[in-house]
Amino acid sequence: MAQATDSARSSLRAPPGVVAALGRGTLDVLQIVGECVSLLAATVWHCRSAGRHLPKIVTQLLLVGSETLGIAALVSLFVGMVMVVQAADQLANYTQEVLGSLVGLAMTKELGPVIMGFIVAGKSGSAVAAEIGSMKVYEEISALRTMDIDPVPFLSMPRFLAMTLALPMLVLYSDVIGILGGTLVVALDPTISISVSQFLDNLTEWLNLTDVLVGLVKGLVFGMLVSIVACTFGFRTSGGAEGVARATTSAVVWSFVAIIIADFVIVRVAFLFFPATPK
Amino acid sequence: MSEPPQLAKPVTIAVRDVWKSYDGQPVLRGVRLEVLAGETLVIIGGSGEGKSVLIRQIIGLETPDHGEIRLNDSTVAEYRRLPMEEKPFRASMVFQTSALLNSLTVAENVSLALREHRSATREEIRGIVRECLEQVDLAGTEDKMPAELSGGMRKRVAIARALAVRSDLILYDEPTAELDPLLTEEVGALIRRIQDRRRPTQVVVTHNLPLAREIADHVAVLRHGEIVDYRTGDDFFHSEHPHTRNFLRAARVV
Ligand SMILES: Nc1ncnc2c1ncn2[C@@H]1O[C@H](COP(=O)(O)OP(=O)(O)OP(=O)(O)O)[C@@H](O)[C@H]1O
Ligand SMILES: [Mg+2]
Repeated sequence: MAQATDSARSSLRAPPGVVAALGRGTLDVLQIVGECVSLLAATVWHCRSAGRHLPKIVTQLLLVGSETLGIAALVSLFVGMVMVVQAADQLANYTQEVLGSLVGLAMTKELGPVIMGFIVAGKSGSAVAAEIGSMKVYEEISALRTMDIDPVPFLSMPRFLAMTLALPMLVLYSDVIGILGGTLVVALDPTISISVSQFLDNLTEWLNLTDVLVGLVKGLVFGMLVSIVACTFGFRTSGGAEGVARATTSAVVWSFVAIIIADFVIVRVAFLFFPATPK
Repeated sequence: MSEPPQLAKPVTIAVRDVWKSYDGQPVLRGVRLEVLAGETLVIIGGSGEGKSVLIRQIIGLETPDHGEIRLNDSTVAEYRRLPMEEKPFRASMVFQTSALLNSLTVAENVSLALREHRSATREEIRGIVRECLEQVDLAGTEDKMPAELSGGMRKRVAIARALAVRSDLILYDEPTAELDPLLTEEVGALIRRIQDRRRPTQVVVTHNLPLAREIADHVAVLRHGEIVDYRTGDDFFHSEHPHTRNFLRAARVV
C-alpha cells in the first residue's frame, strides 16, 4: 500500500538528475552573467586611463579590423544581393518600387549590426577568449598580478574599447557594401523591373538619419557585449588546453545570444523614443 | 665591471598555521614555517603535496582559509593591497611554467613591470634589461619571442624578469622542472649567484635534491599538508626523519 503511493509519487517527479542539472545550469548562468557585469563595471572604470594605454588600444583596433574587414565585406555584399533577389520575387505581383527602402532599412537597422556583431564575435571575440584563456591557464595572468599589473586595464580595457569603437564603424561599412550588393542585383538582374536610380531614390527617401543611428548604437552595444563576454570567458578559463577550447566556444555562443537579446531590447526602447513614423 | 650591486632589503617570512582546502579536500593542514632575511629556503615535497599551493599563498595569489602569513610586519594581504610605489620591498615569483607573456619579446617581458609602472626611463630600462639578461647568460636575446626559446632559456628569462625590479624576495616554483641535469646545475648556480650578489630572501620549491644541496641554507619538507622536517642545508642530508630518509634514499643522494 505505502509502496504503491510511493512509486506513484515518484513517477510524478522528474528524474532527480534532471532537476539537479537544471538547478546547477541556472546557477552557472547567473554566475557568468554576474561576472560579466562586474567585469564590465571594472573595465568601464579603467577607461579613465585609456590615454596611457593608447598604443595597446590602437593595436587591438587594427587587429579587429584585419580580422573582420574581408569577411565582413563578402558577407554584407551577399546579404544585400540575396535580399533584393528574395524581395523582388515576393513583390513581383505587387510593386518592386519599395525595394530600395526595404534593403536600406533592413540593412542599416537590423542586418548590418547583427551580422557584424556575429562576425566580430566569431573572429575577434573567439580570439580574445582564446588569448586570455591561455594566458590564464599558463599562469600569465597570475604573473601579472604578482607584478601589480591589473589585468583589467592591461588586457580587458583595450579590447573593450577597440571592439566597441570598431563595431559601429563596421556597421557603416556593412551598410554601404550591403546596399551596393543590392544595387548590383537591381542593375544586372533582368527579372527586376525597376532601375538603379528608382531603387536609390526610394532608398534615400525612406532612410533617415535616426535609422542609421539606431544601427550604430546597436553596433556600439554589441561591441561592448562581445568584448566583455570574450574577456569574462577568458578570465574564468581553467583546465589546460581543453579549457581554452571550451572557453572559446562558450564565448562565441554567449555573444550570439547576448546580441540577439540586446537587439530586441534596443529595438523596443528605440520605438519608445521614436515611435513608428507614418509616412 | 659595474658598480657593486645594492644589497636587497631584508625580508622575513612567517607562515603561521596555514590551512587551505579545495572543494573540501584539505591540501595544507597547519603549515608553520619561518624564513630568515637573506637566506635561501628550499621546500621539498613529492608531487601533489601542495608545494605550489603553499607558494601561491606566500605571494598572495590566494588567501589561506585559516592562519596567516607575514612578510616582515605586514600580512601578505596588506602587502598586496599597497600600490607598487608604496610597497616597502619587492616580491617576485618565478612560475613553474615560466609564465612569460607569449605576445611580448624577451626584452618586453623583462621590462614589463618597469614599463607598466613607469618606474624608469626608456634609457634606464634598456640598461636594466641588458644587465639582467647578462646575469642569466642570455645577452643578445632581447628581440626573441618566448616561443623561440628552450624551456631552460624561458626559465632564465623569468628569473631575469624578477631581477629587473630588484626583487628583495624571490619565490621559485620548481625552477628546474623539465630541465636536464646540466641546465639544472646552471639554474642552481644562477640562484646561488643571485644570493651572493644582492642577498634577497629566496624560497625555492623543488623535488630536485641535487639542486637543494647546491643552494639551500635551510630545507623544509612538506608532506600531507604539514612541514614534517626542517633543517639547515648541510644537516638535511643526514636527517634522521624517516620520511626524509626515504626521500633521500629514493633519490640516491646518500
Ligand atoms: N586551484 C585548485 N583547485 C583545486 N585543487 C587544487 C587547486 N590547486 C591545487 N589543487 C590541488 O592541491 C593539491 C596540491 O597541488 P600542488 O599544485 O600544490 O602540488 P605540487 O606539490 O606543486 O605538485 P607538483 O610537484 O606536481 O607541482 C593537488 O591535489 C591539486 O589537485
Ligand atoms: Mg607545483
